[in-house]
Amino acid sequence: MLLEINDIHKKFGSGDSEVQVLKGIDISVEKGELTVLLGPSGSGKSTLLNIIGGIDSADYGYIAINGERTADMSEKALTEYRRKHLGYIFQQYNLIPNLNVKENIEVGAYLSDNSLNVDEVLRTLGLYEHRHKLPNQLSGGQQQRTAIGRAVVKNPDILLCDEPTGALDYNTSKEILQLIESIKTKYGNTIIMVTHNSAIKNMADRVIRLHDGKVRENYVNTNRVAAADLDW
Amino acid sequence: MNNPLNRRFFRELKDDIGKYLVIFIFLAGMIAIVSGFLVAGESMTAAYDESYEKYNVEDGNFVLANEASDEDIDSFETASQYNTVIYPNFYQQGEVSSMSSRATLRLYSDRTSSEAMNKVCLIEGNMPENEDEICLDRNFAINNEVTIGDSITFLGRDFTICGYVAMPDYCAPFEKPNETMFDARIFGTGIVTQDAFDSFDDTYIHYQYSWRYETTPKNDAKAKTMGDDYLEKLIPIVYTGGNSLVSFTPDYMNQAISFPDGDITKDQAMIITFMYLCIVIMAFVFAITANSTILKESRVIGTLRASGYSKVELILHYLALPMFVVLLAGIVGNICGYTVVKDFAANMYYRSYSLPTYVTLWNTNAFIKTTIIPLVAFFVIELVSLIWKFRFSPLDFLRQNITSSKRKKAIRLNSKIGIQSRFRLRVILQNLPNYAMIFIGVFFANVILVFGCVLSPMLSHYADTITSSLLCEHQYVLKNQVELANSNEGSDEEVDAERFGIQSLIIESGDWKEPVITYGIVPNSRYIDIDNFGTDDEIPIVSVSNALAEKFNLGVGDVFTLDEEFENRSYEFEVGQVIDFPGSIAIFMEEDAFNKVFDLEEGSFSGYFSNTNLVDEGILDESNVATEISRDDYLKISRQLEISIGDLMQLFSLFGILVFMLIVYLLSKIVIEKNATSISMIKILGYRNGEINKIYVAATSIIVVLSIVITVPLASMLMSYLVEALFMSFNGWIPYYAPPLLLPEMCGIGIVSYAVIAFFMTLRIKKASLSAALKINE
Ligand SMILES: Nc1ncnc2c1ncn2[C@@H]1O[C@H](COP(=O)(O)OP(=O)(O)OP(=O)(O)O)[C@@H](O)[C@H]1O
Ligand SMILES: [Mg+2]
Repeated sequence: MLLEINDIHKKFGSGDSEVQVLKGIDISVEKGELTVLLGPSGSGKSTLLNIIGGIDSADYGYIAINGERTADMSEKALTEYRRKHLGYIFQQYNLIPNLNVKENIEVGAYLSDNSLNVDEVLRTLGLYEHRHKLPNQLSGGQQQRTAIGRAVVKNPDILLCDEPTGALDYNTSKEILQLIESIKTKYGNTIIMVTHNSAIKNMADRVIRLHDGKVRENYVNTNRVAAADLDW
Repeated sequence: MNNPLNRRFFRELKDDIGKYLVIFIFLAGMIAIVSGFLVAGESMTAAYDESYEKYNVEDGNFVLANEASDEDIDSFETASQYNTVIYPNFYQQGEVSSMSSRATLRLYSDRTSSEAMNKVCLIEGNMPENEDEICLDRNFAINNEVTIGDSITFLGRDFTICGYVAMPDYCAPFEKPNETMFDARIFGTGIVTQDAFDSFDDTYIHYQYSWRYETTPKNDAKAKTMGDDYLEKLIPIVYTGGNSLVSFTPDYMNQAISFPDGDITKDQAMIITFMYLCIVIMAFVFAITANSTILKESRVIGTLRASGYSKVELILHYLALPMFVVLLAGIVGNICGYTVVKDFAANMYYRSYSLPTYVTLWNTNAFIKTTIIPLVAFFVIELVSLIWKFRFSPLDFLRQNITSSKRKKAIRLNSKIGIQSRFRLRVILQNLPNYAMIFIGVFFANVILVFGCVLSPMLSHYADTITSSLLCEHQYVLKNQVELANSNEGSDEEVDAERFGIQSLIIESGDWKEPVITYGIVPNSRYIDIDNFGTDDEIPIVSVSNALAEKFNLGVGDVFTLDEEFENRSYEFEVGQVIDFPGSIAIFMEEDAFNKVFDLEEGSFSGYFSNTNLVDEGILDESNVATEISRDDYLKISRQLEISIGDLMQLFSLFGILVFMLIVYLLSKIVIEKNATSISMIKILGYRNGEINKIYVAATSIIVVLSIVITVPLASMLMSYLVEALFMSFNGWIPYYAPPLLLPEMCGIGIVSYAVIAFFMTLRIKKASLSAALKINE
């Protein structure tokens, strides 16, 4: 077992405006698994992902990676945890606007002891000929691919993706999904992917559905479909 | 309906409190200082102008060798076409023997009669009523550490100090009207009752007569014509009566009267220059902060514009908050200016000068200059930069694509450079305009700082050079040519003294007139080493002091003209040699040449150089000495400058550091803010705080340190020009001097102040929220 999510509770606000977003989440994720996290808007998917990523903290419960609890880590140790183990892909890309494509990816590579070859990643992502462009000279899909590049170039143990295809069209979305799949096969990373597109669950090893702050479904997907064969 | 955007004001103010606070403090501080000084200055100038009528101030005075008869006085009054009224203002002058150090007192009678000129203003205590009471000039008393109730001994008589006065003809205690500088410790004035005055014998009396014209001259030019005419008519009357004229000083030439006014005017000019400097800096700051606000709010603006808000509505919205801060600063600044700073400035002047009491006057001129002009300027700058930014389309705003279009093409950097260095380089490139501003701002701040820091060491350096290049300890100028007591006995070696000839001439440069001391020196002098250029040249060749050469740009071979002050004679000289004598504006000739130039008999002389006190040693009788020039006289200029503008300088240094910190803080804050998303982004990626600092803080640090190191010498260079210009309006010359350690020290001050700011920046990075990157678009 790689990642253990144990009885996570999280609320926002206080008094009248208090919202209990996560009400005891228990999940465990095996190494090399692609987990798809589904759920309606506002169900707490991003919140959970942020807690896993060490960006946010839980009110109760813990996250353990290889048996090490993130809540026990100092600010500094958390940084090291993110640095060593995590790759993060956001819905809003969040590229660094004054660095070009290649440099954005190099920023990720710099952090890792066993980073992938930057040029190879650029080629894999089909960004090689765009490598000198700044983010605002790219299309949305190209930006998302750059963001993926930045995350995967670290070759992280765990890759967290928050709606990586949320803003993309059908074809581009599928390309991105195939890419994530191929990275997983190539390097064996553990991937947790948040999406509201339930078609995507078909490519997952494990499917988890959140509703009202609780895990409503958690099963291993036995008849996996290749990303290329997904349809919606 | 009330614009719902208005509800954001308070939140914006709170979010950006650092920025607005800094702007507020700087602006309010600047307005307070400038308006305080202008108000104090102008109120005092007004009081000073008023004093002309209030105290019946003279239009001039002359001193005669002997008392004039009543008939003579009548003819003096009608001598010129400009009729005058004459008032005898005799004085006794001698040393006060009972004070801590040697000081000369010039004593007048109390000038209480209705026709008296230069009536005195009582500052503290009472006017003298008994024959043993005396009022002293306030600064003279303070500088000599005597107070009301103390006793002093003057010309062998004891007096009790009963009050402090300010005398309108001695606002600045110049012993001689065209002296280089005054020193309120060495020379001062006082008054006693008429009876007390009359009871002195005539040994130390000076027959000074003050005059007023029937019609007051409107300006200095008119005063000069009238004065020249009066002098011309006066001389024959004086000399036919067997009397002689010792001095003739129209008001406009009398520094004792006009110096403080001139100084206040100069200070005001300096303060106003300083203010413009500040306004320029602030304008930069405003333009930049306006830009960065828009950049930060880019997506908000894009969305609002896309959903139908008009440009005008939004521009007004973004204009409101800074204008509110500026307005508040204007109000607070003026309040402080009229209270605290005004008192500070007035005290500063009272410490140097004996000015009549003043009433604070509302100063519209100052208000316009300090408050209206900057407010309008900032409004315009803010408005223009907003309008300029709002030229972009809503879509550009949404895409945050609102920086200048020419940088669309991404600059390529050699990928051999490590990614960290390349990242830092990118940050520098991205923020070039900001960094250019930092450079300019640091430059301005350093100019102000150099201004504040250089004066004091410059003056003490001057004092040191003077002391080391003094001709001798004592220079005696004689009333008449006397031999020294035991120099007759053929043992010339015994007496440490050497005769010299001296004349005072005037050098003119543009409108500026300044006395030049002309020395005739015996061959092979023991006190000064000059070349002998002989007496044969048509234009006499002379040695000039480096003070004269530097101030008036003279080099070897140059020919210059000197004039006699009262007579219309001019002399031409050629520079044969520049000698190291920074103490005074002077020229030197061999005795023979000197006597030839001034048509004097061979072997005549008018003074002695000596390293011993010839009077104390009994070698020279005091009654033969007209003046003694000592080390103190050479140091007067630096000492007085220290007194009169030392305080201002400290204020400037402080403000320089403040300006520096303000600019660097604001601009480096902008750099961090602009990159807030990127910073929290790379933090999420797992960058350590140290690594982030190495990118963002280090980029700014490199620029700030470079700016400091480059601009400190530049500022010092600029300062040397400004100081030279400043001394063109003073008698005497102090060369610009920055001590070797000053520049490194200033760099040090700059870097240390920056370190404080950098520390706050690293804190900011440490605290940067991780979710900023995630929440920004939601
Ligand atoms: N910082 C916050 N302060 C207060 N409430 C918050 C905060 N962040 C999230 N929430 C609330 O927590 C709930 C879950 O938010 P979260 O972003 O996790 O939802 P989500 O499942 O990712 O939804 P979506 O599919 O729309 O992205 C929402 O109701 C949201 O309003
Ligand atoms: Mg979400």
